[in-house]
Amino acid sequence: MRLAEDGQRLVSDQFLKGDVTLTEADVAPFVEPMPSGVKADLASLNAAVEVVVEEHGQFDTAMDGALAADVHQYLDVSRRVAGDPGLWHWLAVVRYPHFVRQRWEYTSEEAMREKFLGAGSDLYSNAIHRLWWIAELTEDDGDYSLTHEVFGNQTMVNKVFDRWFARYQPAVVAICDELSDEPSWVIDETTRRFNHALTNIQLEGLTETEARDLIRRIISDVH
Amino acid sequence: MSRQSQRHRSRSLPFKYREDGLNFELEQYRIDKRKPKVVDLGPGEGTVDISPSVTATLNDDRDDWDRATLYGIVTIEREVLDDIFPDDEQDAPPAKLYVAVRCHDTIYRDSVTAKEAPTTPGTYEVEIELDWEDFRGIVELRPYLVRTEARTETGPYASTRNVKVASGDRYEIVVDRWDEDAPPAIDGEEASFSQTQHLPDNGELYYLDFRNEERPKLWINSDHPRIADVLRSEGSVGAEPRMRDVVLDHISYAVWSQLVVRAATAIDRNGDVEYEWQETVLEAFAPDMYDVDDINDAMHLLRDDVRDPNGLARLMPKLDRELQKFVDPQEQLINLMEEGLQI
Repeated sequence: MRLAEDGQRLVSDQFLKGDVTLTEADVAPFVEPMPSGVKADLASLNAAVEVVVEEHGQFDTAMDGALAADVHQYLDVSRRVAGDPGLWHWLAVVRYPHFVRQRWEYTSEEAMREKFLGAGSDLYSNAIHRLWWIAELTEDDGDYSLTHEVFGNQTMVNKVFDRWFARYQPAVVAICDELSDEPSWVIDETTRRFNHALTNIQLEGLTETEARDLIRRIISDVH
Repeated sequence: MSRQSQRHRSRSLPFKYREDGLNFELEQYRIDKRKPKVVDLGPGEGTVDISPSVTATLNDDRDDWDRATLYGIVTIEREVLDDIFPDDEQDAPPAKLYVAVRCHDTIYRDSVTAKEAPTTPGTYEVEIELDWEDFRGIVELRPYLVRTEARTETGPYASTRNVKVASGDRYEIVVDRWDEDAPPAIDGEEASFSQTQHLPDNGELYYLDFRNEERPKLWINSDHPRIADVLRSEGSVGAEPRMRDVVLDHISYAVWSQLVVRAATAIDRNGDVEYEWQETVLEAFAPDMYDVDDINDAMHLLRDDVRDPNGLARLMPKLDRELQKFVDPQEQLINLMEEGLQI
């Protein structure tokens, strides 16, 4: 299912703060089916979300790592489908608003609105979309080790996935893998220098090995 | 900014680089196993529509396709290679030629190789396959020539592996169009103004085209390659994305101004307008400009102002106030300053 554009009007400031709960009748006029062929195991995803919500406290960043692989596995969709903002809006606003509010503290209307109604090419916006995409970019044939490592380090999440090079999987895998054991200041400086290097180096021409070599050289210089 | 200063900027990279050194031409495309179609574009045009609404045939009982294959050629001249490689590398330039494939909506970046190193002068065929499930909206194709070996000698030439030394014009492939969710008030497209007859060629950065009053179109001038590149940058942090947002604010302010005034002049005696974009634009701004709740009241007040010379003088500060509030240019300017100056 997806939330139609008009459904965004349901997301008031009171809803963002958790003061208002949407009923089935409220959302029904704005919920549409996805194109045929889209596979999702929503029952398993529901169970996974409930466990994560149950086992974590308010605003615990560890909720991301605990749920990302499940979101990716149970929403077995193509990039084309994942590129539809309506899917992520439906998941955040209709299915799992309690997850979004428990994970993200309300600091401003704009910031919280992004967690419910962000999506598209912004990897760092919608609370559930970002889990799926970061898992998509770090998963290796069903192996989510790198996904877990990334979400275990919030500096990595912040510094890598808000950069434009995070849209190129070989670069993402190389930089996350090489930086996984580094302290925050090294991650900060390395991602900044790598981003700068890409003003001359053409990203799509880099293999994962070449990206890794370049990042190792930068890390060595940073140390 | 003049076109001359743009050329100077593109040359101010720390090594020799030819932004227009590759000639990329898409010649044909094929949808699934159907008969190939010729890509027929006018000078300066770079948009190829292969969306289902265009490619479907009467016999199709489905509205999408599985795979599109695009056939093109990339040509590189001896003069370009001689300019970007030193004498001792010109016989066999250590460079590979490829076409970058990017889709903003599906966070897709990849490349299709046209020629592995060495790349000598000539014309190289390239075949690009697009799977339906990987894309939506627009797919961008752009050719690049990059170094494949490091070089220790210093001089005016690129010396690092994977550094781009030449590129060419880009194509936009329309995979599908989304009608159901909030259609944009206007369409937008990039083109070379100097090569497109119906566009002005006085060094403009952009042009709002009202030839079709029902569907205005914003053109961005690719004759300013540095700016066009910045506008295509992705992500939200870093110098280029920050600069992109400032440039977009600049264009946005001017375009909204034109749209509001144009729509205002189209309001009839009943307070109605003919086209959907006019209604969208006026609903967005008119009530706040006149601080009224009723859109009909706002439409009549606006209609009166654009028809009265004294009213125009009153209208413009109101419009400026609302556009500054809407565009909020200071936010992106501060982001750019903080990014660039490390304040």
